[in-house]
Amino acid sequence: MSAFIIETRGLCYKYSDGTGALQGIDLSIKRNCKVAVLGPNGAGKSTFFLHCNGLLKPGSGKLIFAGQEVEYSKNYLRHLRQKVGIVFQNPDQQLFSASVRQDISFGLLNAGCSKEETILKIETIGRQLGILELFNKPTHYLSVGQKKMVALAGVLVMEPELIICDEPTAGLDPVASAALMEVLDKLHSNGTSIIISTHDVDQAYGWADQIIILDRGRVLHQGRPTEVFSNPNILDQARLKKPWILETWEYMQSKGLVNSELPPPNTREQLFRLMPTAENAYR
Amino acid sequence: MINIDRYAYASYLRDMHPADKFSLAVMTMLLVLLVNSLYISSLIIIIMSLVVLGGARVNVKHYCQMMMIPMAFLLVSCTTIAFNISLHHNQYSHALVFGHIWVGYSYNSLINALNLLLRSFAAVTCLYFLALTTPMVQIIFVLRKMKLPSVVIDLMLLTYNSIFIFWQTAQHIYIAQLSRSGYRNFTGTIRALACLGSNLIIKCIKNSDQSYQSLLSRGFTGELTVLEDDNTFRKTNLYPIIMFESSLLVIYLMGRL
Repeated sequence: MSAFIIETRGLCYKYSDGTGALQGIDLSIKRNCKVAVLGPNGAGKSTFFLHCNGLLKPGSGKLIFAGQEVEYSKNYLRHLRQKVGIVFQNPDQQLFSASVRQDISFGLLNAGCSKEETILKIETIGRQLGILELFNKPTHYLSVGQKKMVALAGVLVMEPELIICDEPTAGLDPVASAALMEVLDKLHSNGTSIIISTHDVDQAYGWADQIIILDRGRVLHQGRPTEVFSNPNILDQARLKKPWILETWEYMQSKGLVNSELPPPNTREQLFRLMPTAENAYR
Repeated sequence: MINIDRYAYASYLRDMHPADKFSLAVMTMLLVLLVNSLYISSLIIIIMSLVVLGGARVNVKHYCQMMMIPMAFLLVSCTTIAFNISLHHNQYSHALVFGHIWVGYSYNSLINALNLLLRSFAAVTCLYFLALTTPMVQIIFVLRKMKLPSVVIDLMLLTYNSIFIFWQTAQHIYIAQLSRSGYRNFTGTIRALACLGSNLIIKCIKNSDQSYQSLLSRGFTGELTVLEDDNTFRKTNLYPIIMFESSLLVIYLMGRL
């Protein structure tokens, strides 16, 4: 089994109106990794995602999934789309059915699951995501957060190896946002690889194992969050701001409040633990 | 906007088996259309309205407003049947003459028009009964069981869902236009409506593109196969319906004698 879930070599794609969305993407994404893709609007994030499950065919270059080069035959694409699930940004475009239960069952029935198995899997996913009470409701009466959960459920129920979420927490209130990220974390602990795209640097810094920055169709940088966000050149080029945890940490380091040998914290809890207390406030 | 869909989902009769509601509505409709009787038609109008207002607990004012729409069409058509324009004057009970042209009504034409009005209206009440007590998911269940081609059912499903999405979008566009004084005068209104319409069409096309992509991502093969709800069919529920229809038929036949 390949160590990498997705690899691209020189992926290029041009839209029919001439926009060169991807201009040579070279990436290697490891299995069971939490990846956050950042970049300004128009960088090519969504276009890249659409390549990952074969919805778009690159103009040149190739895409390798789980060590196997992606062919664009009907059979292979059907197999690929069961392994790679994409949750799009707008839930209204993904929900089509008259009831939530029916909408979630769509992917499973297409994959050839039996009716009994489908019912079982749907109940399980409903319990996991906490949407069981929504099952009999029609999809157009749900709130945005509920719709996003249902859209996610519809993809998760197919048990893909890789889940790609295009701006999963956009438009969600903090509680719903935290709930969704918790779901993604649980999936990751079960072995699924996760790629999200976001504009929230704080969220990306705290959550991801790997950061990929795209700009104007090219990969600007790929690396661990601390190395990417500590580099002012990369941040300038990508037009990103520094995550507040890192900013606070660097400020404390510059003022000599903390031991500069220590690695920077990833979460606010780690930061608070490393902060100087009343006992050691004055050196 | 009176939301018929909300009534269907909140209806007291929602949990009745959809096939029962469907057969009640359709059989009554067929009966009223085949049996050409003023009394049966009026009886069915009253019964169906009572079931909807009392059983399904629909607001009386809303129900009347909903009835206005088909009533408008019916009144127009029935007026044209009641009144005739002709060059001959021997068929009329009462008529006005304009030069060589006679405009008037006869006893027969009035009865015909009234008959048609009541029959059509009764059929409409049966349909409203179905619409106000049966959520779309149940209607689709029945149509699938009746082996309607899945292409038609899929189209129905997508249209139904899209209505709500695009209604919301249209509302947002309308509010935005209103906030910029888009509907101040007649020309402004026409222009604003034109922008709304064309914008909505573009959004629809874009939306359908993206919906198609997400359907493909979930393995779409051409049919929207979804899990069918388990509606256990009980034959005993058919008996009261058949009794109802038969009693109507008996009343009619007795009236003829």
